[in-house]
Amino acid sequence: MRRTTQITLYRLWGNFRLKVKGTLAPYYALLILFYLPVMMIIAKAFLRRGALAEFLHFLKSPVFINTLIFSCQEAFFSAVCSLLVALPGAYFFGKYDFPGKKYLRSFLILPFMLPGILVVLSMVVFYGQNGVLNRMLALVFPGRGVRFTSLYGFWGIILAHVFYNFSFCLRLLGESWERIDPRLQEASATLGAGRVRTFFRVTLPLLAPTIAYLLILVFLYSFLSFTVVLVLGGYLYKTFEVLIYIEYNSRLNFDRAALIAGGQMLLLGGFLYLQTFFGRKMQKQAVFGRTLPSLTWKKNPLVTALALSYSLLMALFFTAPLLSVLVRSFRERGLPGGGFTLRNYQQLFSDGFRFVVGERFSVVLANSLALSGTVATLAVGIGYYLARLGRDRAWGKKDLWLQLPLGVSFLTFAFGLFLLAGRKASPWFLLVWAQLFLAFPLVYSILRTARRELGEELLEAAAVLGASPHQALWTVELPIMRRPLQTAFAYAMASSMGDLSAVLVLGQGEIVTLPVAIYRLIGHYRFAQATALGAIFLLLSFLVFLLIEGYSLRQAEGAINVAGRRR
Amino acid sequence: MSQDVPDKGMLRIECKKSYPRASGSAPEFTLQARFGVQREEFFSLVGPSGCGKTTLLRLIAGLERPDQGRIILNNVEITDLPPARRKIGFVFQDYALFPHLTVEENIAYGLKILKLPSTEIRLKVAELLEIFALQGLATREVDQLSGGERQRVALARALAPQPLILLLDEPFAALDYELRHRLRRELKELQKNLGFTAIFVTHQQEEALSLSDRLAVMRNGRIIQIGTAQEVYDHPQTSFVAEFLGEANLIPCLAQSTPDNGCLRLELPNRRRLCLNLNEDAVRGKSLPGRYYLLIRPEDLVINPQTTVFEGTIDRLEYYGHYTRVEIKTAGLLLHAMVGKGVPGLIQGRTVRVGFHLDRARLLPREADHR
Repeated sequence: MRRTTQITLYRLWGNFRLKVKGTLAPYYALLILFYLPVMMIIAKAFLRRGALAEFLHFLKSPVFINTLIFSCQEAFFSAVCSLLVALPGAYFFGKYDFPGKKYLRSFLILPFMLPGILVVLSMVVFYGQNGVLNRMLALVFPGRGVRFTSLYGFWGIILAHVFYNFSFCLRLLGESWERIDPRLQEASATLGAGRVRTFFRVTLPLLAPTIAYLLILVFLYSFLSFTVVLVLGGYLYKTFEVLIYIEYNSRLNFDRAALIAGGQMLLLGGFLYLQTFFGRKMQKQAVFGRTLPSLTWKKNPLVTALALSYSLLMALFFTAPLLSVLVRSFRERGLPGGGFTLRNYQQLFSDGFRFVVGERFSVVLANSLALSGTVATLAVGIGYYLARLGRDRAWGKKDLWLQLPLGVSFLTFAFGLFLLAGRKASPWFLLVWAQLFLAFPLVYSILRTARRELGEELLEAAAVLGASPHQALWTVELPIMRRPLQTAFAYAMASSMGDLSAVLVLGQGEIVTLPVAIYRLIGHYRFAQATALGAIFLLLSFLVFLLIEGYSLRQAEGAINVAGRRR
Repeated sequence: MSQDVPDKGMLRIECKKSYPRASGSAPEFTLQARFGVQREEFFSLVGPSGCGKTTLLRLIAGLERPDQGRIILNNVEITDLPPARRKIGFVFQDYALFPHLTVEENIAYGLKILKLPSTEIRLKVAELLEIFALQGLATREVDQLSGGERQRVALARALAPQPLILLLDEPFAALDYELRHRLRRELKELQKNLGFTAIFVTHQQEEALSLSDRLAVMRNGRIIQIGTAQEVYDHPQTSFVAEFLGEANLIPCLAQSTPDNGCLRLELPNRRRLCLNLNEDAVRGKSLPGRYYLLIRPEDLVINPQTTVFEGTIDRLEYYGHYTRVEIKTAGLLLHAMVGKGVPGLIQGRTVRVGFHLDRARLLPREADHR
């Protein structure tokens, strides 16, 4: 009987090369889920009576012009500063080998994966009025009133954006530098060019596509910045994302919010085209494997000293704010001078916390974990199903359609979803929908690539050794795919856990997650509890990061795309 | 297909399968094969890349299904059986070792699928580790193995469930020359000692000739000739087989009349006429007069012989140590000769006389052979 069934199955399949007759229903369902809210925005923005006139009027309004000028300015400075800060590090990474380089390279993706609200909290704790930096300045320059007071303003926003972006700029630029064939520089030297001329004539032109790509990428993400500008920008500084949120949340002017979102989509189109263009150019760079010279004190004292100084500065700039959150979470009232205490953590269970945040701590934590767990499970489940279905064919149009989320700002999508479903649907359902949209492109891209790379041969080997397709799946395919599945799951979880904007727009005030709780605590100046909650959030983020780093990620660019859009 | 499966053989196959070409305009590729393999025979499928060797192997393994035909293994029709139930071992070109399992786990995989008792699995794995000299590597991850070690693990894994037949898909392709040479010998010895039946796919004629009890030469999805290595090399039926297995001087000629007193009159392209005393086998079954190739293997060409057939100039000399490859320009032809040490007068540009061993020359048809 069993044999007959197997033979029948084999005949049905045609051959073992498993032309899986899976249904494409989930694919089309995803397309509907992803595109419908975007259509809704477009319809609301442009397809109603007087929309064009209103749009033209908006384009001439001071709000639009001021927002555009501010967004472009802050995005430009954020991009340039991030690259400038990253450049020396990229040089050391690209030209030398040193102990711990591999781990440092992995670690560099961490700040980028941090939830926006945690970055803002770190900034406030370290660079704020009563921040660690000002305490240090007071110690170094006693009585001189030397203080850093620019956090809540233009330069504070730039600082936060640089904090966020410089690490992945360093990583990508460093990798690009590593790939440059040293023989080109040697050839230039034999033709009589000195080091400086070789840098400008050979190295820089080869790095140019990556630099251009990174400039556009950071510009784009800073242009779309939400959490950082919402908290640090006050009433004076707004990006279009913040403007959409204010129109939606404070003024309840949905038409205007849709109009801004629609206008922003048009603006984004050009940037995205440029990003894709330079992204492709960057990938074209030939990979040149070589052993880099070791950076040691004996061989290169000057470069080693410079590298150490740079590392120290970066550690201060990057690690210190995060450490400050941890340290202050154990300090009395969250202040630097206070004694060691666990009170801040105890207060997470107090009525005061519940009064400010709107939920008990356990509920907040459970909400975050449940939401991110559901989103990650769905994204990985559907993503792997589709990746498996398409494993016989190269990346094509069908896959590109699923990458649309990368072309639309997340807040715009969440708002579109709100317009579509409003308060008729459960906020949980809408949030899962929105966050699936956010996480899916990267999850799919990781799983699609990994599954295609796995190929069929190992499964065929299992089959000729007697394994049924089911056994081959469980004993060969899934164990081998464990790491990409784990990474995809972790990314989906990280993106969902760190999301603030969708929860603010779609949560209807009922769903409080960790970022919302921190946002509300900061809003009520409850920094002590915010740091305690932030420390827990940081720990969770770090655990998720450890899951990610279990797999050597070839999709750093994709990760950056997703992480960048949820700030 | 009009033909049925062959009568003899442990494995008997007669099948046909068509594939669309990658580019839409090209005609579809059709694989058509009919042959049998004897028990404990080492049978090779040899042919240029893309001729359908691997596909034929995959059809036998059940990894692909034929459009028509039947495959019979040990008197049981397996055409419709899934690969898991065919009892066939397969060594893939790049071995397809499971990267998440150690060496011994890889070898034990098929035994575990068979649900054998764990003690039996342990014993069997230990035995295979010993046979393949892998004892010290049992707990190694497969990505820590060298090319030769991987190949041995792949063989051990494939043989562990005691398959009825072992299929090897170019298992030496990824290895360097020295290693390939050594492993080839080891494989042949193992096959003799363990007595398994093997079908071996290769595009390397040297490998096919040295390993096989019999071999099948394939081209464009068809089997052109089957025979022992010596038969196929010495008596190729087409110019393709002659050129694919070893080097060949193929001299276009017009055979003018039936041998008269053992003498066959041939006209060469430059209208030069020769009367050759050819071996009887060489002309058997040929319709005369007709257009043919005169096949002379380079090792059968003799420089400055007693009986001169051609006279030409040495155009190029390539020294290979144990022999020298000589290119001779003559009568609008370029002849290749392989001569051993000690042949005098091998100087580039010098005129030499050339003859050949008449009993080893063959006439091969020209029309049917789309060169």
